[in-house]
Amino acid sequence: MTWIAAALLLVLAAPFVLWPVFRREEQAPVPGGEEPSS
Amino acid sequence: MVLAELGSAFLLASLVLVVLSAGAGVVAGRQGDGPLASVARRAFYAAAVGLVGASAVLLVALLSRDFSLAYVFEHSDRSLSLPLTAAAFYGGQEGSLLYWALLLALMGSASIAASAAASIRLTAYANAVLAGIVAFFLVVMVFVASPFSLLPAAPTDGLGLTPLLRDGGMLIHPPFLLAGYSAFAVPFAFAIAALLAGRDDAAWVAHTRRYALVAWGLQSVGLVLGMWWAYHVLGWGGYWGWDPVENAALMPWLATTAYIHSAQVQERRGTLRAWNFGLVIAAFLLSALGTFLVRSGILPSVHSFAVSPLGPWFFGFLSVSIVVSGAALAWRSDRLRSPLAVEPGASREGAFLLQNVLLVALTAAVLWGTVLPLVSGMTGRELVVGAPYYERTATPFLVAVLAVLAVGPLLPWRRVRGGWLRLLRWPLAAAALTLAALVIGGVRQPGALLALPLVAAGLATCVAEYGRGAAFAARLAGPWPLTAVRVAARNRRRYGAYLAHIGMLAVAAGLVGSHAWQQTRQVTLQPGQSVTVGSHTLTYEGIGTRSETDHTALIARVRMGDETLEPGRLTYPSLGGQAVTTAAIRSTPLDDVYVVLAGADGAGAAFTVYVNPLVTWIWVGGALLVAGVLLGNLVRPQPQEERAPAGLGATVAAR
Repeated sequence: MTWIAAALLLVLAAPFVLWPVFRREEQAPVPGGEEPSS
Repeated sequence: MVLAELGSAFLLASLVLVVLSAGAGVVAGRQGDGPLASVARRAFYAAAVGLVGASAVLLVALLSRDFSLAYVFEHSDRSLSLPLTAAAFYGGQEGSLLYWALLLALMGSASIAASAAASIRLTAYANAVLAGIVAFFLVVMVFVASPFSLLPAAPTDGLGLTPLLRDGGMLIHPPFLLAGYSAFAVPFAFAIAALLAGRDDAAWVAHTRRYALVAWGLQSVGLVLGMWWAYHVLGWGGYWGWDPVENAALMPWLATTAYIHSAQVQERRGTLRAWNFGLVIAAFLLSALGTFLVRSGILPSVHSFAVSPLGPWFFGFLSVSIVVSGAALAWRSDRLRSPLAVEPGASREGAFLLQNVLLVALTAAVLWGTVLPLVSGMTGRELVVGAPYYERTATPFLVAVLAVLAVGPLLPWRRVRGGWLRLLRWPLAAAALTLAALVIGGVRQPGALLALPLVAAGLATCVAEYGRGAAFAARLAGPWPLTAVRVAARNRRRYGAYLAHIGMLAVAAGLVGSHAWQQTRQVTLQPGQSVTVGSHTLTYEGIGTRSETDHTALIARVRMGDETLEPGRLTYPSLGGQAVTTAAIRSTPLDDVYVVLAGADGAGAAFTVYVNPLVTWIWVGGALLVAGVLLGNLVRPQPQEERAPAGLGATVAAR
């Protein structure tokens, strides 16, 4: 029970904690993609 | 049942998050990786939220009297008032660990949020150190001493809080002291981070100084409240017993007091780098040592209610902290050589250095006395030192610190070039006048004759500096009160420091007065009989009993002038008949009359009466000390314009 509740809490926290990494992935230039216009 | 599961889940999730935070912090610190540093910070914030959740669960369990939780059963009962029931949160072992971790997580979050923009690497490393420390507490709570352990069957009532802790002081002293202890981890984390990141410049000091001031302020309040509580509750007429646990709280405070002053030398002159790192690290290690001493029960103490089998865990924590700090210092030792040495001769930095040496020596003397039973016990013959050792050892250091406090603020930076008499005329005059007044007044105690003139000299120095600022303000355009306020606000760090000095002087006067002139009498009186102690006559009028929810109180009535004092003894039947005294205290700025009811039977009532001069000055001084530091450092440093002249020394030196 404790383990399940802890896992649920971690799932809840994950988007907040890992957001900077996702954002970096999103902002990384895609190989072969177009240059962003200025 | 549900509460216990939920609380444990919060702790477990927080543990996972701080481990992630520590790992991400180390990698981000090494690589200077911004997004990873951000992940480390966010994991730390989330762990703080988890600890808030766990704390809320424990509070709900306590207030709803859920005795299925072992912690609630062992530290509260139905007769306990709601505020004290809430205070049982930190009244026992497991709860105080949770409280400690919670505060560290909150203060750590605030510090890394405030520093994140300054330097990615520095903050990431500091984050990792803080997360590592919180992880230690969480490991202990998850695997060894959980506040959420369940009993096989829920009892109908709890065991209750120990009688000594059933007092209003319980609501304020432990929270501040525990907060102070945990706060020392923040400057420590930034010191280790600065070493790892190679940031040993003055900017590091300015940064860490703020956090050191927070820890120092909390510990100051905790110490003064502890003295006040001991004075009111323990019934022995004193406020400081040189108990190992009191010493453990005093030592990090002394080291941080030294650091707050030596940090200024580094900011101003770029010297004392390694020394400053050493002081911040020592303060944290001393606070960890204090925790180890309290929790292990290895030394006899009035705080023995906090003893637990966690001693080896804290010993391990202390050992790891020492190894990590020592390794970081040794690794960076080449970089920490100061470009400039402190010049020989009298100067402001020389005064700071002397004050530092005195405080560190005093810390070492207290440390030696505290751990002597441990060290000597290893050789097979345990030696214990008591108050006389500490008083003999500490007094010369304190007197010397008072002298530095009187002279130091008047000295210019770099070097005094003549003009000593003019420089020191105010403190010298004040000291001479006070000495003459004391001798004429018949005072013959050497301690008072030495210390009180120095207190007067220190006060004269502070007043002279305030006067100089006021005179400077009068020369500025605009109405004087407004310019004075402006000058004070723009130089708040300096004037705040002088207020803190005045507070310290008041504390010193209180310590000297209550030691030199305390009077005590033990008497047994029949109703109507009187006793005179000092200039106070007390008449015993009678005795009665009162029944409260959790105790019965035997209360004596003692008349003193127009007032009635009511010393008592409280007996707790539900706690096996444990009894505590409640002293009756009548305070004035001049002295306290402190009456303790030792017992009563057919032969009369036995009292111990103390007259404690100047004790009130200690409490007022403690408040001024903290107020001065708060006022001086609430906001960022002032811009350079409209700085008041930096003391007479500056003008003398300029000639």
